[in-house]
Amino acid sequence: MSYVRFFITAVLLTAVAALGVAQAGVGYPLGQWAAVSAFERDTGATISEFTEAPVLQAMVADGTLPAVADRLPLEPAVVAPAEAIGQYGGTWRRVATRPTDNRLADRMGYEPLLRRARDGTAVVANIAQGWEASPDGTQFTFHLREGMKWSDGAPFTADDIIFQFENVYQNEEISPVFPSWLTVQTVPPTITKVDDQTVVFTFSATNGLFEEVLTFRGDGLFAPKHYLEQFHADFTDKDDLNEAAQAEGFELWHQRYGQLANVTLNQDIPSIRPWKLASEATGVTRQIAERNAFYWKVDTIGQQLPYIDRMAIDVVESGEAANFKAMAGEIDMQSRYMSFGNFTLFVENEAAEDYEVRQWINPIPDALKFNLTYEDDVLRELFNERDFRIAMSKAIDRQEIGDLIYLGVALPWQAVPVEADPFFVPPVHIDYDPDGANRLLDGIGLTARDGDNMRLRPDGEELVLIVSSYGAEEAGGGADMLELIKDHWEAVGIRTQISIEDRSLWSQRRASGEFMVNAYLTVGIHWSIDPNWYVPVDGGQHGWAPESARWYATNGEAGEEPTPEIKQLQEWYGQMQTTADPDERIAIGKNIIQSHVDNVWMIGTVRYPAVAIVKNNFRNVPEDVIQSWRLKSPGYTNVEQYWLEG
Amino acid sequence: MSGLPTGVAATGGSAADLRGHDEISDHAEERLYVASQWRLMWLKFRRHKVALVGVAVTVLFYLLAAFCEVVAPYDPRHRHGSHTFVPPQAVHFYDSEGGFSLRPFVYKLERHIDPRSLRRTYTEDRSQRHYVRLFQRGQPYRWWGLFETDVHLFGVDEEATVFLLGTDRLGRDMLSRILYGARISLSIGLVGVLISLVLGLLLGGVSGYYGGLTDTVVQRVIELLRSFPTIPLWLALSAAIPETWTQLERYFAITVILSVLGWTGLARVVRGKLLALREEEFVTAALVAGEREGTIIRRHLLPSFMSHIIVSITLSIPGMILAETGLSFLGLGLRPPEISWGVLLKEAQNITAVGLNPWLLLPAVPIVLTVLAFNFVGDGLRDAADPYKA
Repeated sequence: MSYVRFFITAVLLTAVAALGVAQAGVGYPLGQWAAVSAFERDTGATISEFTEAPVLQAMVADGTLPAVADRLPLEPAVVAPAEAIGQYGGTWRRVATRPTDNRLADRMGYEPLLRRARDGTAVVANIAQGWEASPDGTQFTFHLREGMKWSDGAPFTADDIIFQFENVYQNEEISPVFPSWLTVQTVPPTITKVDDQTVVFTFSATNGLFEEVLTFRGDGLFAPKHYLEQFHADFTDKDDLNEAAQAEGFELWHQRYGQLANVTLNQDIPSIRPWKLASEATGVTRQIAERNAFYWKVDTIGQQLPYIDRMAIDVVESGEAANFKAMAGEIDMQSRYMSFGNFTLFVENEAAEDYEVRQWINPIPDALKFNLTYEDDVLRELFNERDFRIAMSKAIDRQEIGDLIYLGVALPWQAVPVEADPFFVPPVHIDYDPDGANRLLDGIGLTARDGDNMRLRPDGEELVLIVSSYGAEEAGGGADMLELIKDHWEAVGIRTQISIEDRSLWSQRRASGEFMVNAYLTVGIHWSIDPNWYVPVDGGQHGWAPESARWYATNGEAGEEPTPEIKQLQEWYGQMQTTADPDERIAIGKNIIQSHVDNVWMIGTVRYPAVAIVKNNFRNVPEDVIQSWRLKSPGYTNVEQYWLEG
Repeated sequence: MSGLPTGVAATGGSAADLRGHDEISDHAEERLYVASQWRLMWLKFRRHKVALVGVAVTVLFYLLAAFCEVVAPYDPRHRHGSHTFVPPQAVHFYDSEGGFSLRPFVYKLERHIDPRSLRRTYTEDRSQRHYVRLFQRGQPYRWWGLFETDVHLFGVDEEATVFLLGTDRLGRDMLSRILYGARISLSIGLVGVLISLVLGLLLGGVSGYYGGLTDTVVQRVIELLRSFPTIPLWLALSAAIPETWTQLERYFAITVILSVLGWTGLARVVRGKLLALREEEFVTAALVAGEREGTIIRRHLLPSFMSHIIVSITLSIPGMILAETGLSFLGLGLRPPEISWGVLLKEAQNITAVGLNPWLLLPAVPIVLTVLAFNFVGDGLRDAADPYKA
């Protein structure tokens, strides 16, 4: 008996081990190893040789392309297939609504120096094979891959980073303002090339958020110097360049440069991304992107990526037309533009068109933002009253919103991060409690009522909240949701008026702080790289305390001095920037979110899933993708390992 | 119409043309000679059967619009949260066993949610029969903003629902919405035409009566206005309405926009008529008799082409209704939460409505019917306006 049991166990174990060897690394949660050596050390598996797509084999045989081993860097990055090792070939059909919307430079080519891993959180090596930060967080050394090449075969070196930094970011014609994400307290770093594969960034103070920021912005930190030199005034005669620019309809050379340096529009610029534009970008109804023969990543058995040969991007009129195409089965995989409002219709066509409708995590709660620095003193005082905001939050029937607007699958949420964010703190005051809301409103002295039984302002004037929005579903729930909220608020005696404005007018008013209540969304993940959502820091525009933000951005010269609580948020954010230790930084960030949870600085309503269309033969798309611009979704799931079966 | 100038009677001359018709008895025939022009028009008009149907439909729609609070079974803004996207609900006279009931009834609806597609579907619970009652008490409303009451023309008890034309995405009753929408959509035409009428009569009258430089100026303005492509002009003018205006202000602004463009046709007709009439002898006679110009226009000239004005009004009302619908459909006219037929159609302007919930497109039906009805009425009036013609 026990012998039989031992035998079965042994067989099972062997089988599991055999499977393990054959598929070492498949489903690896971080999705990518920095290099082959790291992969081999981690899994015990070995990659003995590199192989390539059949279309490239033919070109190698022709002699038009060097052998795969010569095209790959010494140490390629190793990407773990999400579910299975893929097959080469096929065309991935997608849809864009403008020529510049092919996303080849971001969502379909998420290749910064460092990247977010497939778990959506960890920061891992990418173009940089490795990196070190000094203990005080002022100096960052990046090690590039030896032998890594641009799509035209030219070497990718430290010079390509220095070029972008010195000749583009520091060139006042191309960049009138040095990018603020690359500064600490407005001071740019110095950059040093140690050798062809080593670059050092030195900041004047601790830059605790630099690595995180790089995962979001770091795909703009390099450019193919060998190609762009010929269009750049630092390297080519300026008069000739201006002449060429005018011949092509530009005014000055740097405008032409901007166009030519754009991976999205210029099919000639060398790329390091999995696919590169291979057709005209403008004036066509279908853009084509072809595989990059020099792409520097392999799968766990040494096959050069990407698996998919080609991308065909149809440029359509509108998002609605994109939805149509998906329902007609003419999209292989896409989430962008897929509207939740069409969910049922998508599912109804699932079987006929052989695709699957997936619900992705959409970390973007809809939110209503009171202008805490509103021009009217009485209203401003009211908006700054914590109990008022809590009452307005409790007055909202989030269940009804979820049932009617989001088919019953929305989650009541506050305007705070979601679980996947490192700074997550569970939201409160999301229960529907009109009685409690009435008590709170009575408690802060809003007891006088007018003839319609609506509450009056403390000074006896009529109280009307004007909620402004541009009415798009993806930007704050749209007009339907606001109508519901109007009813909910009026049920507790707060008269509400919904103002659906033209989008440009709306943003202009928001930028100048001329709004009372602003209906929009809130970014619920990785906000630390874009803190304006939770901390008023951007003087150009802010959703709920514009004057406080202006005050911060101008060091107190413009705007208005914030209240102590808001000032505390700004101080915490300053500390996050200057704290090198990640755990400490997360603790400080959680203070900021805790303050939002306690004070309800903004009122969240619900969050709801994003919709993705995935053809049944389209493989290796992870199940629970987070749909976020901060992750360049689906970029962070390694789009290069997607493949088409059969 | 005893004040009718003799000249008009002279233009008609032979009512004898009508004599051939058998149904007009000798007695009536005799009366024809002395009948007023209005009476002649009516006699002619009522022979135009399609026009009579048009009148009936128009009157019915205006009555429904005027009494929409009473006729509508529900508040058009009330959300029946658990009854979203209900297809038009059947009213039964026969139950499932074939038993006949003189009183119509509905079955209570049961909702099912497909766990995969999240689609809401409804089945009738045959065990629960609810009679549709006249003058059922339901949601309270203020009739014409004056009387508070809760009596609806028909309805069922609160346990069940009667959504004759289904519900929309928020569970609002489509029939009630269409009825309330009629009030705005039908009245915007009237108000607009009224403004057009005043402008058209005034400017056309001035232009035609005085002639010369005045005429040239007015005519050039008309040509200018008529040469604008209308849709882009609407777009521009609607965009010029300040975003801060309330719905009511927008509504009037749109009416004014529509009528400012709509008066030119009428002005042309008025001018042409006046140009011809002012040369008539009875005008000269009046002038010689020392009548003032205003009196001549008002007392002698206007009545002689009133019939034409009426025809042109009836034909321009549907144009106004269509224009409001079009503007709202393009998102430039009225917007939710205001309810008009154009707004309702705009709300149905998406794939889900067309693909899954086609009853949301029903507001198109009353639009088509109204426009047809008005056109038939106009057609009938045009024939009747010249009663002496066969």
